[in-house]
Amino acid sequence: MVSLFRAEWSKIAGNRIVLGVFIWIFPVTALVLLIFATISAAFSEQFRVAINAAPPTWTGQAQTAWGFVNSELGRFMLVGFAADVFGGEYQRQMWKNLLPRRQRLPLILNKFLTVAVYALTAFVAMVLIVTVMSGVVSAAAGASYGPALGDMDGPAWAEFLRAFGSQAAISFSAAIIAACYAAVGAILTRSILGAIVVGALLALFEQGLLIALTIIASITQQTDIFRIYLYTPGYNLANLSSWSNYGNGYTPLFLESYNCCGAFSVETSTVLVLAWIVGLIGLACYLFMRQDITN
Amino acid sequence: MTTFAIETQSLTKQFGRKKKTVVALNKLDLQIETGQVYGFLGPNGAGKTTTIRILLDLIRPTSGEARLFGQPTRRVHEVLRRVGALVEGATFYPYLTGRKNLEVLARTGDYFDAGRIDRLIHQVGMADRADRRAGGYSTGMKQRMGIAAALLGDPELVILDEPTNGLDPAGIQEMRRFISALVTEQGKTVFLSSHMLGEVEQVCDRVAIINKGHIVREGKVSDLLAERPRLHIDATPIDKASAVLSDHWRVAVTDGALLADAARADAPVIVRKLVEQDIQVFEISPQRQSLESFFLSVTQEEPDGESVSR
Repeated sequence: MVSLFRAEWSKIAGNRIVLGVFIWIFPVTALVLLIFATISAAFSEQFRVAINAAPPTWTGQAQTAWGFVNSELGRFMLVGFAADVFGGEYQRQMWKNLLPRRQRLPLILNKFLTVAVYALTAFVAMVLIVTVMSGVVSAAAGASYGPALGDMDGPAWAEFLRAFGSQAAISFSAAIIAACYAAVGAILTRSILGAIVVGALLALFEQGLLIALTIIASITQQTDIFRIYLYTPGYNLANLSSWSNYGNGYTPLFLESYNCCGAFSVETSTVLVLAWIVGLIGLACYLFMRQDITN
Repeated sequence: MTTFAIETQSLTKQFGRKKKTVVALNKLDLQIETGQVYGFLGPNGAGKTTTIRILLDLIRPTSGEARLFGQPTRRVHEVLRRVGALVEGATFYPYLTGRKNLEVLARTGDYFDAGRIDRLIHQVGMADRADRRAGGYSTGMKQRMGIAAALLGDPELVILDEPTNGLDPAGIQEMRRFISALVTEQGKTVFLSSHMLGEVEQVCDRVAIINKGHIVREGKVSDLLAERPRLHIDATPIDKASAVLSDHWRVAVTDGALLADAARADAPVIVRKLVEQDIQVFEISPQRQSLESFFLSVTQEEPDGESVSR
């Protein structure tokens, strides 16, 4: 398995354009923006005033960085990356070289593992850059950048690690689900572009579902139908984020007006998110195992 | 009981569903012993590549079974570790060098050995180009690297699908020697699918000809070519000669002479029949059939320039 992982890792590492555009863009963009912010802090009085008015904290910045991963753009980057990793084998007609050398299941699972490790590496690098460089920006602006490590007692560390860990897990889960959408798209369409389109469509499916449910509810006057939305990965990730940040569940604004359904508990949403990840990986494996490789 | 390198039993593959079904393989039976170069011939769409893809577990048969060294490929994937293959033109990751491509493939199979990769690169004559990106390789260069890729795991059975595609004449000759050496010097079995019938005739011990999804002829090359003896007849007027003989033998007119599907023993009868009809006979001689003409005759086609009467 180590040998297989090294094969996949070096294969992806050699594809510098894809890696640069979809993966290293996370830490590189963070670095460029924060260098720009540092320069602005050094030369713009207005910028310095703004920072000093609400000085950032490294504990806050470390968590905020994960937010970008969970954004639409962040998830789209992961769709693009996974589309190339999975769809590239079809487009470059490489499965015929790989499949006689290994069984299908380890091959496809290894791709998920490698995508996850690459993504995690980039995300951690981005979080480190944001956390450290935000301190540089604060220093350039003459603002504080606390809390000081000496001031962090046991409960403070525990609270930081809990919040940071939750945010990281939620964002990483969102990224992996986006990658799974692209993997399924790649296997179904056998192309990189097809994987991007299907992956993006599946990622947008939740918004589409919400519109469809609204139309159905207005016709049937059955607001209970909105409960279906509560089973989507997007809702459950938002719900977990809400529990982690505010201590209560998340109910979308428009659903509150229908008064149809309450938020799920942390446990329920955690199980649902895990079920989506396992289910999507399982679906990709099932489709791949049954597929004829004809090109 | 003989264990065959390749064995298929009633191998059938249909693509598509219902009215759009295409039968690519129709109850194909093959038995290929070890230690030989076995040619697999057939016109486009005959089912050659489908057979190879089933052998490599790339596609699933609709019915029937494919076995390698006695093991069913679908259920015992491990047996594929004894096989190396070049299928339908060599493909590589274009952004990696040739060497890096081989490394990735070797690691995928868990038999990475930098020394072996280096030796294979030298053997296929790519030493000075192995560190260039594969995206810039010509078809011939890719084929050479494809052969190296097929041999990475030191397989007992090498399956080569059109290995000479894109090679120049010198490269083809080199490839022929290389394939022969795989059997004579390294004791491997080579399953060679090719359109280059001249090459197949020179390098293969046995051949199977596949058409429309099933085997139409199989056997030793020498036996197959002796199967349909031909006589070359130089006679005038040729049209009259053709008409006289076509009642008894299959006759073709080519390059101003007749080619009759007749044995050497038929020569006196032929001469007598022609002379009786006032036809002048200048020469009659047995002609060794080429694999190409044999192939075309059994797949019910004839070479350009020949008109067939019967």
